Amino acid sequence: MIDEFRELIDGCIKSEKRAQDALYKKFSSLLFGICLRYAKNRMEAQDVLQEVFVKIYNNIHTYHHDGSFEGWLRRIAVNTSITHYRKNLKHAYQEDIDDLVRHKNDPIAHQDLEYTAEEMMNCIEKLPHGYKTVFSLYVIEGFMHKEIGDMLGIDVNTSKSQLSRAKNYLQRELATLSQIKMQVR
Amino acid sequence: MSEERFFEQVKGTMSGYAPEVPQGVYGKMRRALWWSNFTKLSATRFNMWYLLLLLGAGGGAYAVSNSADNNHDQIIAAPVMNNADGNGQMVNAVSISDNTTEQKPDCLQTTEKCSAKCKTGSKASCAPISTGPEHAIETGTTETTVASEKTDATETEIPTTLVLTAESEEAVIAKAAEPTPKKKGKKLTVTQYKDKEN
Repeated sequence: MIDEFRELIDGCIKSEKRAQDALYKKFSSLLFGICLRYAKNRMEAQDVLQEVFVKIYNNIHTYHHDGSFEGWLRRIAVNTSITHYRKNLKHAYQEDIDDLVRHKNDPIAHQDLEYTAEEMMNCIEKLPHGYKTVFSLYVIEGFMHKEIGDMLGIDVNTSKSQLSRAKNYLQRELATLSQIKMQVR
Repeated sequence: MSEERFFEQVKGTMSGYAPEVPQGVYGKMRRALWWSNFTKLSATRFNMWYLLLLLGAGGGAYAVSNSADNNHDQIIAAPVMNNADGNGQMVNAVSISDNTTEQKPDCLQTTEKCSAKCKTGSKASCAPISTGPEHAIETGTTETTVASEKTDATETEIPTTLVLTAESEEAVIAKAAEPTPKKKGKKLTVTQYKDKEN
């Protein structure tokens, strides 16, 4: 797998346009998916994605073939997204508070999950920005609450509570989606 | 459903999520990459810093050449004491002031301090006897002449700098040194009337 990318990586180190284009073609969709999970909207995700690729091309010489190349790319995408998130941190927390008041006592639906990635993503996108970020970092990227706290500049307990609320919110959204799907059938 | 199971299912569904990227992103990315390379300090490729250096050097060279040209092109019309025949006759001549010379001719008869100031471009101390472009008119209107190099009196060709004999030099210095009193009261005008023939 590493050998498969070695030529691509060497080409990118030499700033060859052909290699850069091939890298973009191969990984842009995957990285765009990551950016979407942390951005407020699609436009912001596009801006983050282009920044991610600029960082990749400029720093590809620092990749030493000692780990997964895809993992290295994902890490750059996550870090860049988090940097963007921290820039808009104030606004994100305002959304969280509003949402907390609105859904404080709503019942949580528990249903089996049979959703496509697209449907799941649509539900995740509806989460408040802060919830979505903590949820993605914990559930999909696999970071611990301490790491999330350090990355986002928040307390560990805040991370835990936001994850809990995100889970409830998402389950509710998915339950609503299930109901809609049942009605269609 | 337990929390762990829910999270596992979400992760399983989302891990392969790769939506289609809009077309415009690639172009924007290429532009961002170009700009990033252009603004990055790198000795190996052409970038903003090279351009700034080139512009700075070009601008500096232009300014220097322009100022040098200006100095050489300043033509001063002033009466000059021509010593070719040694009688100190005043002739109207055109002299060229050269401010770029190391030794300013107009400062030779003044102190060292003055000459040092002239080198730095300060002409305040040399004002009464200066041949600089702004002082040339002044000396010309007072019908005195301007100081110059201490050249031989037998020199025939008109030099680029102005020529002055030792006697006239003293006269100039003395005249320049004495303050001109301000005239008070009304200025009298003399009108000449011609008698009519008829």
